[in-house]
Formats: sequence, C-alpha cells, structure tokens
Amino acid sequence: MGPLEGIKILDLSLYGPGRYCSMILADLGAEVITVEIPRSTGKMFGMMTSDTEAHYIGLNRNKKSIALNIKKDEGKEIFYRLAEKVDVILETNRPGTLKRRGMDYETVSKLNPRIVCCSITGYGQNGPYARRPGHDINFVAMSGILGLSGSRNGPPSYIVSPMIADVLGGTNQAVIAIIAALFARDRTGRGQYIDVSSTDGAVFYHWVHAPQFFRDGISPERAESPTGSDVAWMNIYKAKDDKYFTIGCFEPWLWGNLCKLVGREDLIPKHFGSFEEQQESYQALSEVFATKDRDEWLKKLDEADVCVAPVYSFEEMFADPHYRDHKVVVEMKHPKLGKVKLLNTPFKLSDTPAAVRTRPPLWAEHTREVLGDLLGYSKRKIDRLLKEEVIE
Amino acid sequence: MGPLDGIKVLDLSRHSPGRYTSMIMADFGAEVITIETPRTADAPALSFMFTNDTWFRYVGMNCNKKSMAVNLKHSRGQEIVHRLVDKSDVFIEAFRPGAPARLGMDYETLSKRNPRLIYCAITGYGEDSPYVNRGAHDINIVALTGILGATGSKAGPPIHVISPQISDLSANCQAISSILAALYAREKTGKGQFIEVAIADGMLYFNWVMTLRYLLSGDKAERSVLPSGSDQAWLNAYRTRDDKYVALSCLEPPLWHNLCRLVGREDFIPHHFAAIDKQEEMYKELCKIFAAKTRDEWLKLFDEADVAGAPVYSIDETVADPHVVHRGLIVEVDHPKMEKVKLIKSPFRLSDTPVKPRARPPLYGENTEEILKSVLRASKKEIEQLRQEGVIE
Repeated sequence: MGPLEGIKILDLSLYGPGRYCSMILADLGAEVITVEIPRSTGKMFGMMTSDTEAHYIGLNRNKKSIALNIKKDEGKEIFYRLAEKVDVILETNRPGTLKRRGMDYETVSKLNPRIVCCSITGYGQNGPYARRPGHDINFVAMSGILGLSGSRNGPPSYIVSPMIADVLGGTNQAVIAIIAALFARDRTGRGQYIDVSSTDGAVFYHWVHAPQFFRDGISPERAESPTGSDVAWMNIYKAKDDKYFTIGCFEPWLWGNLCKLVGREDLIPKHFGSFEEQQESYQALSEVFATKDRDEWLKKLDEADVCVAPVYSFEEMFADPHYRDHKVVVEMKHPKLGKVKLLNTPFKLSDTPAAVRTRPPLWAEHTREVLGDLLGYSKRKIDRLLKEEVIE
Repeated sequence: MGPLDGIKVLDLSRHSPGRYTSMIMADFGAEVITIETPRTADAPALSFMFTNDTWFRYVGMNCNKKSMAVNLKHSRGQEIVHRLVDKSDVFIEAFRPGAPARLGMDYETLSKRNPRLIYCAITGYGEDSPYVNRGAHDINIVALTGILGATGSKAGPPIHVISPQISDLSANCQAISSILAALYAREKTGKGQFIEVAIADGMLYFNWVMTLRYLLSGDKAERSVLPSGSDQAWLNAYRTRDDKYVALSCLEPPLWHNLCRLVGREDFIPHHFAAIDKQEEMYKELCKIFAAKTRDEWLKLFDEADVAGAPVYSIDETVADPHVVHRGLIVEVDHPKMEKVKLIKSPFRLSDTPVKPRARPPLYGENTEEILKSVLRASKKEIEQLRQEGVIE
C-alpha cells in the first residue's frame, strides 16, 4: 500500500510537467484518472494520442485513461460529477482558460470544498508573461540557467534532458505542494488552490549563485573552459581510452586524497586557488589522467576515497551494477507492445512503499469503467455519450 | 498557517540535498532545527563554507530554521540528539552509509525511541550499492546517469551545468515528496518509517525523456552535432544583433508555423521534425535571420506572433525582469551581522495554507541554549557544563 492510497486525482494536463507529476503521485499510491481529448475533435496531433509512443508509455503507468470532450455540455457535466468525487485536479492550460470554461478552482470548490486544484504553467497565473506560451528552454533561459551553461567561447549550451525547469521547477514543486495541501486538509478540512510557475521554481533553485550574486552584485558568466567548469576540483577529465570521467572534490580532504594519489601534493594548497592556478591544476591532472584508461582510474580513485564517476552513455548506465542492484527498470506486459521497459520509482518508503503496479493504459481504455463504476452511469447512457462523441 | 504547522524536523545534513529539503519544509511552517558541529578545537576541521553564518551558502539554505551546535561524537551530544528525536516528527541525515549506526543514530535505534519518527537518509548511491562507500557530488551523479555525456556539442567535451545542481534538486524532490507522503500515511497508520533517498536513482528517474527513449526505442542520446547542445532548429538558442541570445521552443505545430511565418520562411513549415541535415540547414538560416535584430526586438515580435520565446538572461537580468519583480520572488530581510540580506522567496503558492515569509537565517548555533532550555528543560548550570566539555557551542 502506497502512502497516498485512497486519494483520487483527475489529471487534465497533456504534457510532461503535469503527466509526470501525476505519475509520481500514482507511484505513491494515488488513483489517477487522466483526461484525454477525444480524437474525434481533430484537436490532437499524433504524438499526443498514440498510446504506444515513448512519452505516453513512460508517463502513464499506474493510471486510468478516459477521453472526454469538455466543450460539449454533457462532457462538462461529467467533469463536474468527477470533480465531486476526486481529491485533486491538476491542469496545465494557459492561465484563464479554465475560468472561461467554468472549470476553475472557484467554481469547482463550490461543488467540492475539500478539493485541491493545482495549475502548472511556465510563468504562473499572473505577471507580464502569464499569457506567453513557453517550454523548458524558454524557462531556463529566463531564469539565468541557459546563460550559465557552456563555455564563453561558444553559444549557451542547452541541456536537452532532463528538462530542468519543467521537471525540477514545475513538476517537483507541484508534487510537493499537492501532498502538503492534502496533509493540511486533514487538519483544516478545506482544500485549496496551488499556482505553480516553472520559471519561479527554476529561480528558487539557484541556491548557490543567487545568494552569491546578492552578496557581490556580480552576475556569474559561462565558464572560460570548454567543459563549462573553471575549477580543477570539479571537472570533467579525459582518460587514455578517450572516455571521460568526473571529479567532485569539494571537501579539502577529498582533494587531498586525489592530489596524493597522483603524486601532486603540490596542488593541495591550490584547491580553491585563482583562475590561473585552477587552469594549471586542470592541465596537470589532465596529463596524469591521459596515461590510463577510464575504468583503471575509477578503480584507483575509488580506493583512494575520491568523489569520482564515469561519464556514461545510456547503454553503460543500465549495465552498471549499481543500477542493476537497485532495479531501476521494471518490465511489464503490454497488449500492443508485448513487453515494455519502464523506469521504476526511486521513492523508497519502508512502511508504505511506492510501486509500479499497473501497465500504461491504452488510450481512453477506462472511459466506460470510470463513468460506470465511479459515477454510476448506465451502459445505455454511456453508449449514447460515445455515439454523440462526448466521450471516446 | 502553513501546511506543515506543528511538524518538528531535525536536520543533521550539511549539503544542499538535505538543507534545501528542510528549508522547503520550514517554509511550509515546520519547525526545523539544524544540528551543526561545534567549532571547538577537537572538532574535525570544517570548511568556513559550512561554519561561517554570513557565507552565501549558509545564508541561502537556512532561512526559517533554528540552529544548534552539538558534538555528535560525544556521548552526551548523542544523548541530546536522542532526546530531541523523542519530540520530533522527521529526522534528516546525509551521512555516508554506516556512520549513523556508529553514532547510535540509525533508524533501528531511533524508531525504538520514537515509533512515529519519519527517518530520511540521503546518500549518493543508497544503502546497498557497489558504490556504497563512494563519496558523490552533483557532477558525479549527472555523469553516471548519462546526462553529462549528452550535454554540449560533439565537437567538444561534455559540458557541466554549474547552477543549478540538477541532482541535488532531484534529491530535494525525492526527499520532500517521500517525507510528506509518509507524514500523510502516518495519520492513518500511526507509524513512522524509513525513507532511503539514493540521489543517483532519483536523477535517473527525473531524467525521464532521455531515459525512456532509450528504454523504449534503444535510441542513445548523444551530444549534439550543432554547437548549441540541441540538434533541433525549433528548440534552440539563437544569437541576436546585440550579441545576446534568444531561446526558442516551438514544439507545437501551431507555434512552429507562427515562427516560420514571422521570419518569412513558410518553406520550413513541413520540416518541423526533419532529420539532422535539414535541421542544421534551418538552424543556420535562422541564425542569419536572428542576427538582424536585437534580442528585445525579437522578444516583442515573438509575443505578438505567439511564439514560445524567451531571453537568455544573466542572473542580474533575471532578478530585474518584470516577471520576477511582479511575482515578488526576491525578498530582503534584516540580519544582525549583514544589515540587509536578499533572499529568494519560496516559489510555493498555496492559497489556504501559504508558505511562511522569509525569516532571516539564524547565526551559527544561535538557538543551542534556547532549545536545550525549552525543549529539554536543561538548567543554566548544565548548559554551561556541556559547553565547557565541548559537547555544544
């Protein structure tokens, strides 16, 4: 039994930040119903409606899927009936959209005062960019992350994955706020509204560089070095076999261990030295590291107690004994795909464990079940709604 | 009232995976006590970055908390922590595996004292891993999870993202979500539990786009052919006439159409998701087009044409942006040693149980005496003795 067992969530989102949020909550035991837009509306492009796409498979396990046309009166009526029965509604429309449709928190909370409504948007419900469309690359640009990534001698370098602002600024914030609101509800008896802005979340995570900027007033810039880091103690080094590995020796004793191992005790006092000293240390270590293969260094550095890790490709990563031991991949049977591999949940709670319980649904697989079991609609009524393209 | 009003948290961690976690909980109204190491002669040599309470790291991660300095290697120090555990709901630590047991602070020991305790252990690789004894920082975790190897251009080395520390953040999410879920479950089960946060595992999970693509289709993400880290023309950063950059993301066909029309290249419309050769051609053409106007001119045009664009900011520009100002994301508080300090406001917005306003970070060990007196009912004499013996500061 997961910690959120018994909680019902209606997910109106279409994209990663919302779908990932409801997946984490589903892994933690909540019952999640995703609401798709019927294909008959012609609104959706293929990537969004195919239930065998990587995105769909990856983000929808442990969930139920229904398709509902909320632009039709009866579709909206079904939404209201569902809103009465669920604990959380999650949505990622542009600000104002739900209000226009009479589906916003104010309306819904009158039907169900215990409901927690969470909106995830790029720029939040108010502010000068509230109406501006956006994706992760825009939010990391706005929040100063993109401008800091890469080398000054080239363009800013975008991190394609993970999507820092979407996942860590938006999804992360939403998951935390929703569970906190559910916890608070047990005591207050009331639900509430949560306004998540991915951009605001991304700014919040500049915990090193923002306080430094507030103190010194100097805006950090991209690094001089091609690796994006200008310090020798935290950098990327190339081994003899052209493979890369990373060193992260922030603690003086770890830096000491490294310098001793490679016979360069003279570098110890230069740990937090000037830019020129860092360049010298980086150069010196690069020369040493170029003399042996990556895996040889990993072994030696591990033995010497140095923070080290290989720069892995995905193939190498999934073959690594750490990830094998931790069972980070689960395999499930799927009616269309045979067997599918999925990422296991990393949430480890000893008494109420999170788990991947059910395979990703087929698109709109549970429309009948949810309308019948949860709302008590008759088979005849469901058949009629299907025919009238209110549902799919 | 915050959503975690009345919840008591004891944080023994030092780095951001733990400290930022307990700060978010403090923002939510939890009463957080951080346990520091006394700066006495026989304590291990700690970097000033940890002990200087005006250093930006300390200031940035300790708002809304109380600070206490206790020597955990001293049996009386351990006793103080044990007695605090009796009155706590959540215990956070980020020692290397094995260390808590040596200090008598492992889950087994503490849960016997307080069965309702939620114990969160944050480590790089978890309690059982071939790397169980390996130290880890952000750069190591992003390397191991394949992110570093896929960041930057193939023409150069992998590129490390300096800020934010991505894996520390995934650890925050994993830790707080688990702790909150465990608190929620405790209302029904009446029991606490053990939460293991392995940062390397969480990072893999949060890197879902790349990881899933590999698992489901075998596609291995690699560094880009284009110099900017991305091989998609619709998802890229472009240099403008004033040597600044704009970031574009037109995933949705309507947005891509809007962009192509705006720059007079309707011929690109059908090639939205084309292969790399065409993407490179479009990227190069768009580079030329974007070089003709300044960043701010383009931003205005993007907004008018409904294109998902944004400026590539430096932090000073971010902080001064009308959005950041409008949302009140930066706050200023008084500080006894620094007069005024600027801090990042919590981004969490809950309508009914709002997060607490930022209180200034405590001075190092500022609340030791107060906590000993109020929570543990220690007398002035006892406190003096503990101080003399180097148990507290």
